[in-house]
Amino acid sequence: MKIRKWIILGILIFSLIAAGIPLYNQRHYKETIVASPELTDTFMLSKYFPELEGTMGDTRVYEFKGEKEGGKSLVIAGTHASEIVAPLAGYLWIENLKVEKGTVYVIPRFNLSGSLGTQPGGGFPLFFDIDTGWGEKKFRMGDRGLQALDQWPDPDVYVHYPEGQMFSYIDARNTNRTWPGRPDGFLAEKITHAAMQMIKKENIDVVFDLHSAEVMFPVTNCIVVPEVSKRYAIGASLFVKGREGFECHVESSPPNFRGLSHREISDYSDALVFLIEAPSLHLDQISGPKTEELMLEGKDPFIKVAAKEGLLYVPIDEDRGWTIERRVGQQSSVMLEVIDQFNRKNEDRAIEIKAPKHAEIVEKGLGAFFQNPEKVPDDRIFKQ
Amino acid sequence: MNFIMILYYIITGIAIFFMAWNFIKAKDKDLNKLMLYAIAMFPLLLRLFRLK
Repeated sequence: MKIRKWIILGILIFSLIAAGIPLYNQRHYKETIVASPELTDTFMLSKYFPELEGTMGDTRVYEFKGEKEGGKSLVIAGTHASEIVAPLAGYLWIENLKVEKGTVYVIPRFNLSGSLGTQPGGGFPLFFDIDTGWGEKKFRMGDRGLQALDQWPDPDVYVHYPEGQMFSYIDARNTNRTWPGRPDGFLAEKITHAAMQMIKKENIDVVFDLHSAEVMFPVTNCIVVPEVSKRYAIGASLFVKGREGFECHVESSPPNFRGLSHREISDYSDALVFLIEAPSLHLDQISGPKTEELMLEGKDPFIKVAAKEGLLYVPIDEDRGWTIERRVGQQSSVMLEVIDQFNRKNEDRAIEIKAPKHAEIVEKGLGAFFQNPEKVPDDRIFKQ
Repeated sequence: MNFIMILYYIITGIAIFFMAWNFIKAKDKDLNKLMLYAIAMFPLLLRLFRLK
């Protein structure tokens, strides 16, 4: 080969190494979780569907069991790993939750595979950091669906099981289109199948699925619920507005839009399901560079222009921004309020818990609720 | 890793082989072709090495 070929080959190899090392590092980086002293057990989701064991679909479940018997709640976070509010709210609860009655299960990285790489071509940072009193806590930025490395190839058309509704090929990797799942389907379907088995086997009363959405998308800053969950959601929406001063309206789960958690969990189990959406500017296509600052501070000049044109579905306060504290705080408070509403109507299955609320998180900062792993016993530290 | 996924990795490997062959066989002065083969190989190599 002549010199020119060697130069081009050299550039190719250099580019591969330069691009490959950060991607490899992100895929293999483990987030550190310091569980609350109240943690009673952890296990893998494959406990309910052994075929998931050893695959990228298996993920850790954290159990918090109160001293008194009561109802059960499951918090699913990280369905879409690009919606960073959700796993952070999951981690917040794992690090701070206190359960007096009943049981709470938290899955912070439901779609673990999705958290191991960002959206191709999206220009997102691979990681983001939260300031704490003891240093910076590092998290992986993820993608909406499973990584194509873990579920490949995509079908031409994704046909939902069992309803037969047709979706875009990309939704075959979307764990919020594959409910209720099936044991012999795509990996995404196996994950939701395992979660459905858990919901049924553990007799879960209340399921939360945490998400965030664009501010230019109508289904944002809200609780999406099927008919049976509506009265609890409306109560929660009114109470967070009255007690904590923030809006979180209620949206109905469309009966003909299949595969979503708020539809299928309700249709295929006895659990009450609540999908909570927080507004996230970094998900809007028109927002500027997808920086860590945008993701955490929630301020963007292009969104500001869209707000002036009346194109948004949530109010924007440019001075304050949709900070990560506001969004995580809202999710935590809405979950607490929904559980409170559930307890009022189901005393025999009550779930009594304590977790940080919106105002407290906004005031102290999210980092104040993450514990220093160097100052706690090893049995409370988890890497995933 | 299911059977179909393995087949797709084999297809990717074959595509890389032919692109690399064309790269080697292309004339050294045909800079455009050389660069196109190299750029086209890039995402396929990332997948074959399971990086993205």
